[in-house]
Amino acid sequence: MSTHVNTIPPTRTWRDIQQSIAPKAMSSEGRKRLQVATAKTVVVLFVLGLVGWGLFEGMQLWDQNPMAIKSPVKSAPVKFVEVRSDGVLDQAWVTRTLALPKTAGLMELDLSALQTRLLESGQVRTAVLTRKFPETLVVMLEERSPVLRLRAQVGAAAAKDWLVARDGVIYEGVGYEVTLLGTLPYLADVSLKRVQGRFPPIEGMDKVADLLSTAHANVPELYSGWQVVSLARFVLDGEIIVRSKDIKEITFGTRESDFFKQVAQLDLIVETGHVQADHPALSINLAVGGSQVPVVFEKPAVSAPGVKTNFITRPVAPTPAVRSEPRRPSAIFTTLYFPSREL
Amino acid sequence: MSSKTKYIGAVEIGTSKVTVMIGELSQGRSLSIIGFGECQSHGVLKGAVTDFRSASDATQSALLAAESNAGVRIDEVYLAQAGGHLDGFYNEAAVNVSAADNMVSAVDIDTVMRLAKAKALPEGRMVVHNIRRPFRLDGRLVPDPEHLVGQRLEVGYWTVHGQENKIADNIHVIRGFNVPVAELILASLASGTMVTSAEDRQNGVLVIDIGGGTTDYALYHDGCAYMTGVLPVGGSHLTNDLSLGLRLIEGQAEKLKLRFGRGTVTARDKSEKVWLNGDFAIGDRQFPRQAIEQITAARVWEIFEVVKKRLGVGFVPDQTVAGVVLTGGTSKLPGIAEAAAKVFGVTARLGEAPSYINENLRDPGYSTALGLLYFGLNSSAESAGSGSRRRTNFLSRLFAKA
Repeated sequence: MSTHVNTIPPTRTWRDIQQSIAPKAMSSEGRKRLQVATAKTVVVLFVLGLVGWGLFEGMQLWDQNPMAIKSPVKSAPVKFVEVRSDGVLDQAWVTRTLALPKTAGLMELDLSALQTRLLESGQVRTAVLTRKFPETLVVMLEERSPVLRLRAQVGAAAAKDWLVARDGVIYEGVGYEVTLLGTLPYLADVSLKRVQGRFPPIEGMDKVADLLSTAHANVPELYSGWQVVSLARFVLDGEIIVRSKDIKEITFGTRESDFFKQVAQLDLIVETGHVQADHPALSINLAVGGSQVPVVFEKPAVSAPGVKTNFITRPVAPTPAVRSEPRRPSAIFTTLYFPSREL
Repeated sequence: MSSKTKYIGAVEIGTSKVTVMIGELSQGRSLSIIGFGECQSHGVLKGAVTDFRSASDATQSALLAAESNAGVRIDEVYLAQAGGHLDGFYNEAAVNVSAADNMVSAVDIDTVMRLAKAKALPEGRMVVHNIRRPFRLDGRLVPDPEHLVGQRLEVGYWTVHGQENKIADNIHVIRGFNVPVAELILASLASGTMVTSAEDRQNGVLVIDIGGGTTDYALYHDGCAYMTGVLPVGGSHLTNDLSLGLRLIEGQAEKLKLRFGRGTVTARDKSEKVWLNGDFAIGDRQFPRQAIEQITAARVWEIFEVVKKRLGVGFVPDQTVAGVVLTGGTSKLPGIAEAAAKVFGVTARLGEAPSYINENLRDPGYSTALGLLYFGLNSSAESAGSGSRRRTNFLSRLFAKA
């Protein structure tokens, strides 16, 4: 059966008709279409040829001189480093930190490594490096601002001051004015441990920064007397302790995060004369909340020397501003007093 | 054009007109008709090209009009094949199932199909279609016998063949436009698919497409075409009969046919006259209405009689439950369905394109072109489906090996 089937001659169908037709036999429109199709084919072949030739050349170049592929752009050595910063770092510091070889070409620079070098200082928050052909490297920096000072001793070296930024990063400050740094309080009672040669960021510094900026903006006279900010009770109680020239311990709470109110209370207590030179306050606790502020006064010195000093504690009820007649106008008073008389 | 969009053209080169439709095939699965072109036909007689240059010009005018209408270029053409030279025959073959357990294998199916198609044709003839009828396994009809158990597998083919040179002429008209012919489809199959439902074809239906120069018919049973044929008689013969009978020129006879022609005689009053033009101008004449109806009805009756005779014993009224469906330009003649019903003894109706077709394209004269687009969509979907199957198989084999 199968032998018989295999010997059957195939029947001719319409598909056996040759569909190819000579251009002469075509109509003018047919010829036009043929020309367009031919042109398309030629273009496609040409493009394919170009791609093929490009690949061939590329392969040959790869075999013979791979370096030529790696640096296809002929760049000149870096002549200029253009620095754009929002802080105090200058071109000299950037040049010193980058330490570019004199003959380094612009295209040969490893921008990622250079960026890492800049960020290692800690003072630089972000660094963007771009090539500006033919010979300029553009460095755009965004810097951290110091909030506090920190005195720490690393190894056997002498203790020195470090700076702490809002995000808790500790860094050596470069380029700041000494007078500016002198106004910053010191940070105390934090445990520091170097990890891979660097101090890890201190947690909670954003709260401290908020407190300091609130105080600096609203009660600059009080703020100028702040000497030390302690985080001894920060982790457990959420309290920030400030030691100033006049008051040994001012406790701020961070639970409610309303530093504005606490600073206002402090200012009110100081302004209304509760704290005076003849009976200085030993501590003021603003972390209690509400209208009551515990103040610990130091008892005036007794006549007999060597007698132990006694302390008296009494809650201070705020006095209205109209009665206190503050010595200097304060925006805080007007804000706090009129809507509510609790203070 | 995106790689997944194809523009296919459906071309019907008829005796009276050339119709072109352009379909936009998206993803091989959906088709939108975006272009249409029509032109009066020249150089075509009884469905066959007699003057290549004239036929070519007319066809290419219609192609250009359709392309201009669609704003795209046709990628390939589905061409309708008609003409009195087309003929058909039935041939069947049977094999004994080779497996010891009598389970039909793919080899058995392939063998019986090749045997059934292996019929030598006379010199100068070539196959247009091999239309397979359902398989029979031990006498019962089965759509797919593979893995079924039986002893004797039979299959039959209705083979449509035509004169090689006339088919080639048809194709070369399109090739002159530099567009490939993707498929050559019998006009009656194209129109039949469009005006009948799958249920009609399953129950049995006779589709008669009466064109200008030819009448194509296709008889469906069990969901497939059992018999097809072409008569070299069409609407132009009605015009010619009127022209001879009433002594009119062809244009005047055509006017009378369109206005007063009927498939059955209804005028009882012999004295009832109708005006040729109706404008009372010089030369306008009156003709007896009954005579016009008698002439047209006689020719229509004769066409149906010839179709019935050609079908012979293949046409069984009881097996043609869906009746007769008429399509083509001449099917618009009033009373023609009644004539068909009387001749064939079954219900008859005018074919209608599906409701999703635009109202302007639902004329019976466009059913062939619409059917060609339908074939184009189906063949694309099939090729897309088989392509994805091939890819899937290849990938599964590849991963199986891995």
